[in-house]
Amino acid sequence: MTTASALDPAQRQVLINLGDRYVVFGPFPGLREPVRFSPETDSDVLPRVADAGQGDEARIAHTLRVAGMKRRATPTERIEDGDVALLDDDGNRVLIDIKVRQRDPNGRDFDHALQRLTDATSRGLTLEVWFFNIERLNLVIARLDRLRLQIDRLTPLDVWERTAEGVFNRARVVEQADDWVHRIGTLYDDVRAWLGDRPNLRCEQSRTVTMSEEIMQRYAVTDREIPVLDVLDADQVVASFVPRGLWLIGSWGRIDVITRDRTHVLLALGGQGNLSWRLVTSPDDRRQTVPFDKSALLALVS
Amino acid sequence: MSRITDTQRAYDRLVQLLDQEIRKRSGSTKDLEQFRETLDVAFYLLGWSQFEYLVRQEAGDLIDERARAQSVEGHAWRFLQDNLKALPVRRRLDLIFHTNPKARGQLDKDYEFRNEAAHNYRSLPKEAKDISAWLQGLEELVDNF
Repeated sequence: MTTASALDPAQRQVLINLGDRYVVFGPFPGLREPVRFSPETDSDVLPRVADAGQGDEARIAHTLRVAGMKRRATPTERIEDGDVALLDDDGNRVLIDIKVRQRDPNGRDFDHALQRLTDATSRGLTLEVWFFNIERLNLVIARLDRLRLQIDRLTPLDVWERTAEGVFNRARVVEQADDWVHRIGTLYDDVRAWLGDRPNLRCEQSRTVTMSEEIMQRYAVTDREIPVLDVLDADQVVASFVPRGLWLIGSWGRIDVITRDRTHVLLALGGQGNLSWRLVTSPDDRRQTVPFDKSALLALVS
Repeated sequence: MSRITDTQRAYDRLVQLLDQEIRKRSGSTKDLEQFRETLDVAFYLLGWSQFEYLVRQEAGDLIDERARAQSVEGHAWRFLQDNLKALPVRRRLDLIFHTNPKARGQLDKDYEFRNEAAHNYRSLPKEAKDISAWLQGLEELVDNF
């Protein structure tokens, strides 16, 4: 049996469990092959985890799988040589040392990894140090390539949660974010149309806010720039529509309308597919709303 | 009325000022949104610290009162009185809210968010985004101690 990896580490696909989520990491950009793990065949229905951040290193070591490679318990090597041993089809063995962080690895991490890699190589072992950033979901692999430190970065190809009710995956988050952007655009079109007969007022869409919600980070969905709509009277902004968030308790999105005297709240209420914008009328009770229509808009900007 | 009300008023005013800065386009919208997130975390932690002080006082009063009892339970309460400093916040909340499990359960979640924000560098989750309403809710709990 040799101890050199035949499978290019930069092209691997890796599945791990992070408590309530499964994450598949893979090469970026340009996938050579489709995602080789799926919720139905490669994940279990898991009980809810109170604190998904607890025991991450042990959980990852226990659940880690690499497409095209088999797991093998560390055989004769001392346990500190690695957390997981992998074998490819040719019998090449790679030891994996798992490090879990809530950030990307820093210089000290790489120095320490280099020391571990050099030591392992001198003893005839093939070791890789894998740094999982569980906050922003990425995997950095440190290994030796002809005695030089080589760093490979794998990004999340898919993230899913599987419960008794079904599978919630990254694509659903992307879809909901797309729908949010579309709904905002439609609202802005309505506002422009409603102000069409007010020649003193004009709309401008030159600014953005960053949409970076917690669920997007959990499912590795890229931040988005969402437009702000300003309503101007001459060169004075009389109202700014600022999208505040999509995934909220009790609504399907919130946009603040900041006028000269105060901030008004617009909520998307109703069932999925039947949403409508409602203007909150009482600052003390979000349940008191009226439909947001032309007359409500004109009352805000007058 | 406690200081939490003053905290809520200060928060509302600062949010209003930030919103007006956004409307007037007097700074980067993204920066201002970031300031708002930081403000939210700061006031969440401030609200909790003020609430914790009041919880500590209330739990102390409650224990002092029961420790006067000349019964077997009195000994238990006096033991607790002697070890009051070691009593964690969640246990103090148990004492105060033992007849209000709904409030107690919500405070447990809130305390988790507080710990995540204070010790684990986390932003506030969506359940804790409405700081003004949350501060108002704390004030109502304090009023009903």
